[in-house]
Amino acid sequence: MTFSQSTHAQIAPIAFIVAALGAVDWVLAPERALTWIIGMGTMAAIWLVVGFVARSRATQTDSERRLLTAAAVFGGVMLALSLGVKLAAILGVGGDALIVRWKGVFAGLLLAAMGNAMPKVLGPLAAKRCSPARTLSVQRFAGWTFMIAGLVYAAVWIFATVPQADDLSMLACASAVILVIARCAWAFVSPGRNASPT
Amino acid sequence: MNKVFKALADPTRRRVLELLRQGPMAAGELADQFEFSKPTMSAHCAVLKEANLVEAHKDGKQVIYQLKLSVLEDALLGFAKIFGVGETARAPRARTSKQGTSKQGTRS
Repeated sequence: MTFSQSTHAQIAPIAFIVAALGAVDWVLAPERALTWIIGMGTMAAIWLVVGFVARSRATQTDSERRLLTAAAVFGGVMLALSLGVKLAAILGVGGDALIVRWKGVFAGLLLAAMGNAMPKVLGPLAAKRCSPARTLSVQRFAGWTFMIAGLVYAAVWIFATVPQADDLSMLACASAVILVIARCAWAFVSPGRNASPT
Repeated sequence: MNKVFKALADPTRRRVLELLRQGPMAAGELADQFEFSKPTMSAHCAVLKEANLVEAHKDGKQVIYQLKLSVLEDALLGFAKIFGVGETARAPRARTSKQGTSKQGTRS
């Protein structure tokens, strides 16, 4: 199986799920047709763009193409979850509180996933422009901080009451951002220091 | 994921990753930190590259290796180090390598 074929094979199932959820949403709530069309159209556009880029083998490494496929699948999962939550809301499953909680959990897991991937994806790219050791150190710190904040965010939306979760999740997010900014500032104002592993 | 576990199961490869935390290093610089021959070191680096834990790029005649760990892989590296995964298998291999090095030294 060529890379292009394996890319399509990985994106096809999630694209099918997005299309199916969008179609069901459309049938149940035809007055919001534009929303469902945008959801399904976005997935189709992602697939088209990835398929086009995957064919240009000469300009990309395998690692870059794998990253592109993963990003497309991740985008599809986000669309499917959004359409799924909307479907649950239309069907009245679990009530509004459950949907609000799931949105919070989803946002937390998204933040954790972003934090996890941050040092791997951004490190080698940014390190070509800045001091590689320092960049790596800052990005490791940022990755760990955002991942932990994301897990706390998701846990808070699972275990706390909705009003508490609203405040605590924002606190977790804001703390992570402040910590990362402080770490970046520390790296910036200490040019003579060798970056030590965090 | 199997490739990641395989790569992290070896103490030498974990040591390479620890060294790369200080910043990108040339293949020769990495090899100097170990008693292994350069081809052996190159094989270790190839396993790390295959697992997508390091990135290699050419700079003139040198190959520069740079760390490329996600947070979970970083955590796995920490666990493997704490629990000493693969440490028992290391001693005989290290001795073999030393013997190989000394034989090479005798020949030259």
